[in-house]
Amino acid sequence: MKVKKMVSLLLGGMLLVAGLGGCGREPVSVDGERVDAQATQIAGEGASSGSKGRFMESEVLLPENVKGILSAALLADGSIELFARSADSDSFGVQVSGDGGESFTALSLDAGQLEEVFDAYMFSSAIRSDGTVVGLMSNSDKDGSIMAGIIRPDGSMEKKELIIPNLESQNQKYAATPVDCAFDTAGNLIIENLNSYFYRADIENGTCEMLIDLEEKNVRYFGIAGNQVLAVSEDGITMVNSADGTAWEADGLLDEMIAADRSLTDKNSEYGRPLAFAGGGGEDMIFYVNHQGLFGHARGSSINEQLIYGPLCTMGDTSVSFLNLMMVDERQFYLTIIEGSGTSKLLKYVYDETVPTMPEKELKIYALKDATFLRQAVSSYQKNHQDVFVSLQIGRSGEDGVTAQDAIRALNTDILAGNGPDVLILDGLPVESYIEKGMLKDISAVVEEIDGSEGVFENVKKAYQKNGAIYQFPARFYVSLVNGDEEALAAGASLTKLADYVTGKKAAGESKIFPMRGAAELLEKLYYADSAGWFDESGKLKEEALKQYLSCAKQIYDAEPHESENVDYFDPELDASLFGSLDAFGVVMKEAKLGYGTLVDTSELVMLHSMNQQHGWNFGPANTDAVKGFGVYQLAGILEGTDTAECAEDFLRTLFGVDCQTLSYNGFPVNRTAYDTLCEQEKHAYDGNEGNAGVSVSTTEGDDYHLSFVNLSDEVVEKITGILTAAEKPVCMDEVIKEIVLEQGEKALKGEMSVDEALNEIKQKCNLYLSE
Amino acid sequence: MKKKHTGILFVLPHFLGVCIFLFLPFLDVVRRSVFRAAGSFCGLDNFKTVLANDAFRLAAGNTLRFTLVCLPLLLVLSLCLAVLVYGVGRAAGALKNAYLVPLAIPAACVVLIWRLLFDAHGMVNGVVTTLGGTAVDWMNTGSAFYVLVGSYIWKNLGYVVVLWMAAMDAIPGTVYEAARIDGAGRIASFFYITLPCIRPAAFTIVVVSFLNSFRVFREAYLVAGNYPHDSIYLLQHVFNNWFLDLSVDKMAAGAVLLSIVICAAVWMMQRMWEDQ
Repeated sequence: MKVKKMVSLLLGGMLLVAGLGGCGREPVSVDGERVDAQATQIAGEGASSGSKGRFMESEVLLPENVKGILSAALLADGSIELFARSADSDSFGVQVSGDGGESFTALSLDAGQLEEVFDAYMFSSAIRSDGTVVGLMSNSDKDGSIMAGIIRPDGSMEKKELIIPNLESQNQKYAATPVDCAFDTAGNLIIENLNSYFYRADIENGTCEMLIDLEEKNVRYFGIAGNQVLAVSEDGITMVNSADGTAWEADGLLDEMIAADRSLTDKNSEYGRPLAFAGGGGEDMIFYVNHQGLFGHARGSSINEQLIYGPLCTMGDTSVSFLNLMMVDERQFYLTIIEGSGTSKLLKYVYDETVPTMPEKELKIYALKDATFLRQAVSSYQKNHQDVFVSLQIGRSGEDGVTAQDAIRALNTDILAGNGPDVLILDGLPVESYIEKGMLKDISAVVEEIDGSEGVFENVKKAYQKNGAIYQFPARFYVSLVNGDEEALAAGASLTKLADYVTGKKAAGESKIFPMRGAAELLEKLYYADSAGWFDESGKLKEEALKQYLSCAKQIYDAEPHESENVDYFDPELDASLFGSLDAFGVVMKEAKLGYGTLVDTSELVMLHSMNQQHGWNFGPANTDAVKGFGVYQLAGILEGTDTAECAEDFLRTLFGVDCQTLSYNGFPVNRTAYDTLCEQEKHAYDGNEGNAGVSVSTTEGDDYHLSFVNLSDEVVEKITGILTAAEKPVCMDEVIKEIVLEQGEKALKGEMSVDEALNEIKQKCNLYLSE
Repeated sequence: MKKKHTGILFVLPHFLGVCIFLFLPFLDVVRRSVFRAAGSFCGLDNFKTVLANDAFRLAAGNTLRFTLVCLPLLLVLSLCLAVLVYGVGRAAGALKNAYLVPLAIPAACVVLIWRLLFDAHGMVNGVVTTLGGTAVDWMNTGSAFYVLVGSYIWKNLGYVVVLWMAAMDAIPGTVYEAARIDGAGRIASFFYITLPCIRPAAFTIVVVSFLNSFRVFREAYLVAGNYPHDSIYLLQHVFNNWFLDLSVDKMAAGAVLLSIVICAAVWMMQRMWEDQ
C-alpha cells in the first residue's frame, strides 16, 4: 500500500512538473535574436547586481581637412597617425595626434612630390609603428611587381618597386594586384594579392618573400594581431606567423565566432570590413571588433571574452564597416570606421568603472520588418544615450517563416501582458485600431519641437493630426510620379486618361507602353497613385473609385503582352514602392513609353532629371485628378503608459531629427532641413564633373545607351518640393485592405474573374473587415 | 478514505492545470469584458458594442447555422455507420481504423486537398464541366458553407463512429440473445435495446461533436484566410481578427457571450437527457 502511495505521489508530481515545465518560455526577443536576448539577460543581471564598469565611446573630432580615413595606426610613441584623403583636393594627407586625438598636426608634404609618388590608383595602405605610411599601387610599367608609395615620418617621400616572387605558379594578371596590406609588430609589411598569395615585404630594400599561398581558401580579407596574420574565409580563419610563414592550427572557437557567420565573411565596402583585428597584451592575443562588439581571445584557447556589447555603441550599426582597431591598453582603444553614408570616423573607447556594466534603463523598439534606416536611427540614438540600452525587436526577420499575423499576435500578447515595446514602428501594424483604443501616446509635442527647430513638411504633419493630437508620424514619405513626353505627362493626370493612353498606343500598333512586369506590379503602382481617395470622411469604401481603379488596371493590363507573367519578377514582400518603382530607365531601355510609379529620394531624382535633360522629357505628379496621396515609411508612435516615455520621445527626436534624416534614402525626409540639405547636396553633387559621371547600359534591342549625370537644377528642386508639399493624404497603408485589393485585383486582371466580381469580393471582404 | 485521497492526487495536476491555464485566464477575460481596451471601466458597453457589431452577428449566425446543420447530420450518419460496421463482425476493427484516418491527416494536408478539389479551376469543377455542368466558384460563393460542412463531417465521422461503437460494445450480448429468443428482429433490437442503452453515451458524443464543430475554423482559415466568403465567416474569424487589431474589449465580451451560450446549450442538453 505504501508503495502504491509512493508511486501515485511520484506520478502526480511528475505530471505537475511536466505540465508546468512545458509552458516555460525562453527569454528571447520577438525576432529571436540571440545576442539581444543575451544582452537583456546581462542588462537584467547588471541592473540587479549593480555591477559597474563599461567602455564608453566618444568621437574624436577630425581635422577639417580630413575627408576620408584610409589607414590609421597607434605609433610606438603612443601617438595616433591617420593617412587620409584631403577635403580640399583629391590628394592625401598625414595627420598625427600626440594627445589622444585632442589635436592633430598635419605632416608637411610636398604636393608635387605627393602626386608623383601616388600617381596610380591606390589599392591599399598601412601605417608602420614608426609613422611610415605605405600605399600600394599596381605597376603599369612592369609586370610582376607592385609599386609602394612611401611617406616617411619626416615628410620625405619615395616610390619603391616590390618584386613579386612565385609568379609562375599563379595567375600573373592578378599577381601584381595588391588587395590589402598591413604591418605586423616587427614592421614587416604583409601584402595579399588578388590570387590570395601572401607576401612579407621589406619596404626599405624593396624585397618580397612569399609567406603563404591561400588561393584555394577564397580569402575575403585579412588582419594582423601582433605577428599573427589572420586570413578570413568561409572555410575558417587561417592563422599564419608573419615572421616565418608557418601556419598555426585552426582555432575552432574563432572559426565558430567569425568564419561561421556569413555576415562576417563578406567585405562590405571598398576599404572597410565587417571586422577588424588588433594584437596586444601577449603574443597570442587577438582582439577583434564586429557589429556584435569587441572581443578578446587568446589563440587556441576556449575563451572568447566580450569586452563591449556592440549594440550599445556605434559598433552595433550594421551600416558601419571597420578600418583599424588600435589597442592602447586593456582600458583604452581607438577604432576607425566608415559609416554607411561614406563618412569615416575615429572613435575612442575608455573604460569607465563608475558606470553600470549595462545601462539600467531599457528602451524597447519594435518593428515588423528590419530596416537599415531604423538600425541607423537606433545606433545614432544609442551613441548619444549610453545610459540607455536599446533593444530592437524585429517581428519578421525574413528567415524564420513567421507571417505578419504571427508577429502581430506575438506583439499583441506582449502588449497585453504588459511587456510591450516603448516605441512602435507602425508600418504593417493595425495602427488605426491602436489609436482608436487609446494605445498610442500623443507625440505632437515631439513633432512640434522638431517643426519649430528644423521644420517638417506641414502637409504631412496636417495629415497625421487628429483632434489636435498626433499619434503616429512617418520618418520618410514618397509620391507617385509620371515621367515622359508631354503626351505621357497628360496621360498621367488620371487613371482613366492613363488607360486610354495605353489602349490608344496599342491601337496604333505600339507595344511595351506601361512599365510593368506583371499584374501584381501594375496593381501596386496604381494603388500608390490612387488609394488615397478610396475612403470617404466616415471611412467608408468608395465603390466608384475602386471600380475605376480595377477597370483602368484591367484596361492597361489587357493592352500589354504578358509573356513574362509566369516569371515571378515581382515580390510584394519587398515592398517595391520603397525602392522607387518609377522605372524611368524602362523608357530608354525601350521597355515602356512612359515612367510611372513612386519616386523615393533625391538621388533617384538626379537620375530622372539627367534623363529628362538628355531627352527633353519631364516629370509630374501621377493621378492629379484624384486625391493627391503620399506613401509613408517608418511610421513611428509611442505606446501609451510606457515607463520610459522620456527615452521614447528622445528616440523619436533622433528619428525625426536632421542628423538621422539625412542618412538614408528610403523616402524623402519629413524633416525640412534634412530635405533641403539633401537637395542642396544634389545641386552640387557633380560640380566640375557634370556630364562625365554616368551609367552605360545596353537596351533590350542591343543598342548602347549612356546616361550622363547632371546636378539638380533649382527649377527641378522647386517642382518636386511643390509636388511633395501638395500631397494631401497618405495612401491607404492598411495592410489588410491592400492585400484584399491586390489579391482580388490580380484575379480580375488575369481573367479568373470579372472586374465586377472582383469588386464585389473586395467590397464584401473590406466591409467585413471594416465592420469588425 | 485512503483510496479517495490517491484518486485526488492523480486528478490534482490536471485540475491545477485547468485552474491555472483555463479558469484563471477566463476570469481575466470576464474582467476585461467590462473594461475598455485602454483600461477604463465601461460596464456592459462592450457587450452592447459586440451585439450591435455586424461582423459578430454574421459570424454568430453562421456558426449557429453550421452547428445546426452539422450536428444532426453527423450524429445520424455516424450512428447509422456505427450500426452497420458493428454488424460486420471481424472486419469492424479494420473499418473502424479506416474511418479514423481523416483524424490523423494534418490540417495543412486537408487544406491542400481541399484547394485541389474546390478551387475555381480544381478537380471538382473539372468533373462538373466534363459532365456538361457549369463550373462553380466553390470557395467564393454560398457553396463554401457546404464545402465546410462536408469537410467537418468527413473529418469527424470516424471519431464519432468509434464513440458509438464503444457505447454499443458496452451492451451485454446476453440482452440481444434474450431479445432474439423473444422474437425481436434487428430493427426492434436497435430501437428497444441499442438506442436506450447508448443514450448515456449519446450525451457525451453530442457535447464532444458540438465542441468539435468550433474546430473547423482551422481549415476555413487556412483555405480562405482572415476574410473568407460571408457564408463561412465564423466566430473564430472574428476573435482572430479582433486579437490582431488588439480589440481585447470586444474579444473578451464576445468570449463571455459565447461561453454563456455554450454553457447554456450543454446545460439544456444535460437537462433533456436527465428528463428522459
